[in-house]
Amino acid sequence: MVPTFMATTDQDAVTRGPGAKAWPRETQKRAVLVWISFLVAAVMSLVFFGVFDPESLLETAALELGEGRETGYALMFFFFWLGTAVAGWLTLRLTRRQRP
Amino acid sequence: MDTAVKKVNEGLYRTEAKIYPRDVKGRYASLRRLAMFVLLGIFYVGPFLRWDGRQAVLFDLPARKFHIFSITLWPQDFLLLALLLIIAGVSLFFFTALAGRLWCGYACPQTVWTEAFVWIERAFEGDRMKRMKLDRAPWSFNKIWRKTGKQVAWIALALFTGFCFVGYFTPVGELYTQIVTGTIGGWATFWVLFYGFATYGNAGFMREQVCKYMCPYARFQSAMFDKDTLIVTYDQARGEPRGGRSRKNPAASKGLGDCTDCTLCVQVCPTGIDIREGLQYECIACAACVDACNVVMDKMGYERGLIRYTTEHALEGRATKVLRPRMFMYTAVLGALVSLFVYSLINKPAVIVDVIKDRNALYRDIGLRGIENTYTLHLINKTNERQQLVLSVEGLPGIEITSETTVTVEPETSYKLPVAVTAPHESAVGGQNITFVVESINNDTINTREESRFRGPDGNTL
Repeated sequence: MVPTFMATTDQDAVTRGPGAKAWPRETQKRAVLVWISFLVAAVMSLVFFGVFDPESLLETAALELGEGRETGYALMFFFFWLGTAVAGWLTLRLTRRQRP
Repeated sequence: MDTAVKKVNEGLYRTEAKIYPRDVKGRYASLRRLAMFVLLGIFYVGPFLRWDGRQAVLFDLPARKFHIFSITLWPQDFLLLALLLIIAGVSLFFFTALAGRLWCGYACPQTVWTEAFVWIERAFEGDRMKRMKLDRAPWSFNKIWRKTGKQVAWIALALFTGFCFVGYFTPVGELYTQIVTGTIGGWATFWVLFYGFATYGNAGFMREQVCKYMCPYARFQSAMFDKDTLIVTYDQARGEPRGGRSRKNPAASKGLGDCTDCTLCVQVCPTGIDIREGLQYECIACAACVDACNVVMDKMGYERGLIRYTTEHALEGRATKVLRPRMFMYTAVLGALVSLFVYSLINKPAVIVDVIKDRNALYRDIGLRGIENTYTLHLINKTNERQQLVLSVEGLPGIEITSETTVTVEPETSYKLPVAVTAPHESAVGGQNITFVVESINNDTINTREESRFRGPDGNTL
């Protein structure tokens, strides 16, 4: 009896694995866009709130955005995320090339 | 049996885009498991540690104070945070150049949580072959309970992860009480679910796709590689030509290299690549293939290390240079940054003074007594004892504080104090630098100085 791990002769089934199929290109792009903008927004929030106090920012804001530092942190984080995502999305769109 | 497995495989290959990493045992697998236990242990235990009557590690965002054991960091310690980020970045460079993708294989949260989630998956659905078979099988009671069990365990772990994560920012005891009594705030709920969901999605579903497509480090790390960097690689010269053979009949392997083409290295790979095709950016250097191959080499009676940690130079039969200019440079930069960090941490002023000059009036002529400027002093007592502070000012002949000069500031609080400073007419000309000095009566090591400007009338208007 040959051990099972040496028994396989079918190359394709195991070598390439049952999966290992790449994501479709569009999915890849969307995932990269969302993830990278998220990471950048997280770092931006960290640096930004290391310097500014969200409470005083909310106080000076012209709009009624809510109260409390938690709200300030969350809103700014999503604002950063939205901004970085929009920039990334536009970059993707505008650098798109026609396939020959 | 073999044909059945084969059919399962082919079927899955057509319909699924999923990787079923096979379990592996060996030196690196143990190391990886150890890293997982240590790192996840730190993460999950962290919020529950106590220190000096409060949570040991608490990034108190609402109060804008970070407690890390005996250290308390204030927004004024921003430099330390910035330094820490830079140190983390340079360390990544350093370790990458030295030992390749150590971070990816052992320490990245993505790897660590994926490992934990795969471990749960294995507990419910079995190893690779069983999982493939189960996925292929029609829905049955067996399949339903295994899948449901896995999902329940995954969701539970993800929610607990979210809870612990938020526990670093909100006192974890309070958070627990709030959850139990249903009084938890909107944002706290949101972040628990958000982080839980991200963990579940990243570690349960996306897994290696995050490394392959979404991770910026995976794309940049090759820039830090050179021919002396430790990589996981297949020894082509020794392995090729590969081919199957029977252990009982070694004669069959005549003319073949050491690779038995058992494909175990591929089966255990969490990113689903074949290491024998050479170094690929998908490889996270987890060394699962090294362990798998060594088992086979042992069984065949061959020397271990057909797949191993080595360097390109070593593969070419040349010496590996660990001490190379790149390493000296990284070490120097890292050493300087760490020294600066430690120095700043130790010499962190216990009392911080921010001077804000009154913006409404530049100066006020108060007759014979001279020129008066007003300021707001923002005094922050970072120690855990009450401080009686004495203020003075220097920098101009005859300058003095004409308002209250002593103030008591409670531990770990800040205090805003309006201050009036007066200088005689002859010295108060134009804008000049002055220095506020803050000393403590009960702690003579406290001596904080902060510069500001003193304004008087310009010389030609006198």
